[in-house]
Amino acid sequence: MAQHDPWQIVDIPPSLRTPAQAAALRAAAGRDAELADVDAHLDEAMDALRAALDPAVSPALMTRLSARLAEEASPAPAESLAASLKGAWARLTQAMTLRWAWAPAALAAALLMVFWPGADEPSTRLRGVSSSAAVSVGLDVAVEGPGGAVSRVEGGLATAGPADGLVFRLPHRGGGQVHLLERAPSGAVSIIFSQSVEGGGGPVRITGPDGAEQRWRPEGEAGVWAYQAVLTAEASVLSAEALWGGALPEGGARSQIVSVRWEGAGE
Amino acid sequence: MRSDDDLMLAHARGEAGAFDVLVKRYQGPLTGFLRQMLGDEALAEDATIETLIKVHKAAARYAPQERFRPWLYTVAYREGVSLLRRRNKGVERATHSLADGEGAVPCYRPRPDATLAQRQALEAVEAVLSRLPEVQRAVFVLFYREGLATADIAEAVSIPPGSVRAYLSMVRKTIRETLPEFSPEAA
Repeated sequence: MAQHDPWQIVDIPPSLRTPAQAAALRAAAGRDAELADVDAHLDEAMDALRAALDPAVSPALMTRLSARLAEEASPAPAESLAASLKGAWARLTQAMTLRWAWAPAALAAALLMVFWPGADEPSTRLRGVSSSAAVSVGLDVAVEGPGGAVSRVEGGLATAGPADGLVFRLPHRGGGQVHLLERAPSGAVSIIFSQSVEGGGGPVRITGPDGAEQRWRPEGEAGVWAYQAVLTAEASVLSAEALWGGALPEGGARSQIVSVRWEGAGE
Repeated sequence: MRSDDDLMLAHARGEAGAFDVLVKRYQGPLTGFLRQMLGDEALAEDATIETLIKVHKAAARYAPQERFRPWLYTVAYREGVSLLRRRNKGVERATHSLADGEGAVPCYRPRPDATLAQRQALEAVEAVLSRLPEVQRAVFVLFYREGLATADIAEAVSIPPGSVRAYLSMVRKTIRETLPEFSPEAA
């Protein structure tokens, strides 16, 4: 119907009209005074201008979006303070636990490990724990430098309630890996991963709980990856890797696991 | 090419990279739409980011029958209006319309290979749009730039389809009266 009715064709944007529709509208506009204000000439002129607009992606905006996604995944400032205090307590608790010669219970509690090839930033931080105490899980973070040397280790027991999240912010260069080594309580897990590249870069792979989810970013592209998964009782490993295919570009490459957020179901 | 709906569902399922494809697909068009709607580069970027955040957060609840593009522009339009009103400190209607060119900042962004004539035409249309109320600008840009049908625009801007047609007619008239080169006689 719209193929021939000029009053229906005018509802279709010029960029989507078929040549036949455009011709029908042009013909109708020439003989129908009422169609004067929807004349095909202006539509065509605007369509030509649309084609002249730049649809380019803005790397700056992508970077801001990445940061904004990280904020979304982070706890509120007030929570952060409580989280820091709980985190400190948790680390103390774990340090005491570890003195009991790697008790199986402590090993079973290890939740998160980060490998960090090429690490050179001393600022790897562990941030955020929840504000209520329904679920206790353990976590370990290991940051590994060139040649496999562990340059920094942080860890602790963390506590999270059903409505809370655990947020780990792990700035790094050169790529990294996040592993949930032991089964976490069921719940939603999201990893927000961003990468900005200046002058080069490498592929990125994110692997889901079942090991099946893999995507590789073409080299040299900047962007934001948001990964979400639901951990089931069977799932125990979730990993995200940034693997640089070649040498880091001079002064420019940065990949970042912006956050890992776990919202435990309280099992 | 994977459809928007497919990508949204994949993102909701946790497929890595699906959201990134959507971001890359729509970041440019969204910023362009919001830039022309809001007449402000920085505000447009803010609104684009907030829109994409909302899309990310809504993935789990997304139903394909919502049709992604109209839904996306509904979110973007509301976000744009919200930011504009916040910036204008509660003024209900956009009041940043500028007097003839005074203080106007070109918000279109031509392709690098656009001709001088195209750049001048874009500039002229931009100047006309900058003097219109935000809803008329949004309707015009959604129709001509983003390629949404009038029914979808009505949904995005929350006005009846008849009003969309009326606004389009008003803006066309304004353009023809202001810019003689866009009148049929100039063809």
